[in-house]
Amino acid sequence: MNLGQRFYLREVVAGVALTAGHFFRNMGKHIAHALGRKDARGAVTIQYPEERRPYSPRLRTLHRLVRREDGSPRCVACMMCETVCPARCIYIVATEHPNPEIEKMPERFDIDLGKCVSGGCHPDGHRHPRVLLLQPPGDDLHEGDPPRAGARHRRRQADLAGADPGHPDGLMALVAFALIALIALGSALGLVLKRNPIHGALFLVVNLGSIAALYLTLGAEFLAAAQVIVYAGAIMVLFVFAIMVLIPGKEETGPDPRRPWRLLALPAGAILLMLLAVYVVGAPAAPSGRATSGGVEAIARLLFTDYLFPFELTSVLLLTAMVGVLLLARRRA
Amino acid sequence: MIADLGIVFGRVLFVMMFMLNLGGILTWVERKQSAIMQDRIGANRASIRIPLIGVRLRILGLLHPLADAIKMLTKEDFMPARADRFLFSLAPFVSVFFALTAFASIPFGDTLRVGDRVIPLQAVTLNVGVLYVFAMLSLGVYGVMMAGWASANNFALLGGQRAAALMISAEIAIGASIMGVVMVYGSLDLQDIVRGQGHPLFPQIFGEWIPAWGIVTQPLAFLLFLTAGIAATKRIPFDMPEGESEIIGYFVEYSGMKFGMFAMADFLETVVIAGMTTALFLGGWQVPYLHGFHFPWGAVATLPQVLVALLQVGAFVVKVCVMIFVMMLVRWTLPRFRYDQAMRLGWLGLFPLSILNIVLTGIALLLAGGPA
Repeated sequence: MNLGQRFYLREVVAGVALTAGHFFRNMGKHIAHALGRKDARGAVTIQYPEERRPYSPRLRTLHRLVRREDGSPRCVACMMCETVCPARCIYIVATEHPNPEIEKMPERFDIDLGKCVSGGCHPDGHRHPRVLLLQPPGDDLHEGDPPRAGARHRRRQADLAGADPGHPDGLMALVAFALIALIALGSALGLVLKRNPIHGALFLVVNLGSIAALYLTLGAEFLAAAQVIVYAGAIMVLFVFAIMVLIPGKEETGPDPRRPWRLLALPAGAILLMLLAVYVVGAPAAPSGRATSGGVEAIARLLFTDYLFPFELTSVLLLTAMVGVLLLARRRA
Repeated sequence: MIADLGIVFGRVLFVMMFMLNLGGILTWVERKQSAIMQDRIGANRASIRIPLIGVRLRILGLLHPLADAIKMLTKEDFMPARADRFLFSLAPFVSVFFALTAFASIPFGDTLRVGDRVIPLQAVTLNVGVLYVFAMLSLGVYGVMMAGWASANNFALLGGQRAAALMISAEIAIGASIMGVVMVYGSLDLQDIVRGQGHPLFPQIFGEWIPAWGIVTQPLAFLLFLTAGIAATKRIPFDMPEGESEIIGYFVEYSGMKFGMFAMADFLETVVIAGMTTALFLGGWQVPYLHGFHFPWGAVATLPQVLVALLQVGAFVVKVCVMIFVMMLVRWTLPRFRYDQAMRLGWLGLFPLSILNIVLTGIALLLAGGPA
């Protein structure tokens, strides 16, 4: 493939131009048809039951036995069709007809459609007058047509769910905070307590989302969006992906060999709790109202002035991790 | 107070109705458009017989979405025996929910002045509207992943994993290609971006003839965003999560309305991507050459404000429909990419190109002296 083919865009444009050409040409014909130009047809298909395609004079089609009024076949077992058939697909066993006026009738009249070549060969080169007719499809002979499926209507009710309005703000802020905090705590507990790793990961997604909602109530819209996009949207999708692919069931891994290490969580958690408590108690009172802006400009200014060094350091850290992953993947491959 | 609540309710209701109705009609559009593209007529048999007169109403097959809905709602709602019952039921709702809410921050008009009230024509006014839509789109993939996992079916699981991989690679290209637009118009608020596209581009050179739409200022980003956006809708040519000819996909175990909801989520995402493309690249609700109703040749037309607002909403709807038409055209023209081809396109094609676009935009802005 040369570069132009690899780029593919030219082919896409060419293909779309082709299909769009069909669309607009057919659409123009449909509109002309609707406006009265009955010779303009936008489709090559026909609307079958209402519209019939005219049969070609050369058409040779399948066999069908014509019946008498009482339903018995009209065939008199003259054997001429069996004689003339080039594919030898007809097999007839003749027997006497109970009515003495009629000579004979077929006891068996088998047409092996697997062999039939639809040749339309006939003893006299025409349609057989009364015994075996070549019948173009669609010329319905049988009287007992099944009733039209659409004749009876059954009415069923589709219940449609109504839309819910958004939540109001203002004095409701406290209620909203309580609600979101409850969801955040509940999902955090769910994350820790659920044994199923997928459930745990999904609880973490809910938790990250509710934290984002908390940011939103504080007016930090950018932070909320970034939280959802980066953590809930990207990182957790990868987490769930990895769990789906890699984490086997418990029956495959057996009990955790490092189970005693879990006890370390207790002192670590206690230290974290203490640190948090000290920080919350010692923190200056939060500025009242929405004096501080959580907008993009404010965050960008902080990132590129006061916190430039940690910001760049973080990006170097991420870059290092990325290079490391590439190195590991290369060695494996 | 009551009036304010009513206005908020009305704005949200407009977007909801717009999305749901357009999503429903899209099933008809898809059938009919593909048929006309392929020299066929398309589904036209669903009919309602008016009682007493006995006339059958077909209305060009527009009753087919209704028939679909009735069929979906009355089918058996099957659940595999080993399925995760809660997640299995939750998954389609998650898909539809995030597809529906994603449209909320896309403006469908400027402002409507009624008396002394100024109503923004937007369900939610957010100063990070671009990121909001982006976030909602990226969360939508959880529905698909949950469906794939909860079905207890390996093919469904494969579909869910493919959806996750596709989403990550498309999402990065979407985010990076949006950045160019954000840099040019200097805002993350979709309403600001749309307003910025109303100004003429280089008035000293071209006069007032060329509007500064995103497609003119950011042609590369437009292509990248549209490609990645189509990938985010998980439709052909990026339908590996579904792959109906190979793995059938994440909804293989779903039936009835739950299956219908996944199909609907795809259509809703199409509307969201069309709306985002319109807002970012096609001037949103801007009526071309009628900005402020000063014609380029100097004439001025003054229209009542309500009419202006209606024209803007109309222009937005028309542009969204044109974008949907284009996306359907692509969907019915191209064959499906293989999984590795789509990954290659996302990581080695779209992503580096959108980074290049950011660099080029930065250089251009430096030379031109600041955002437009």
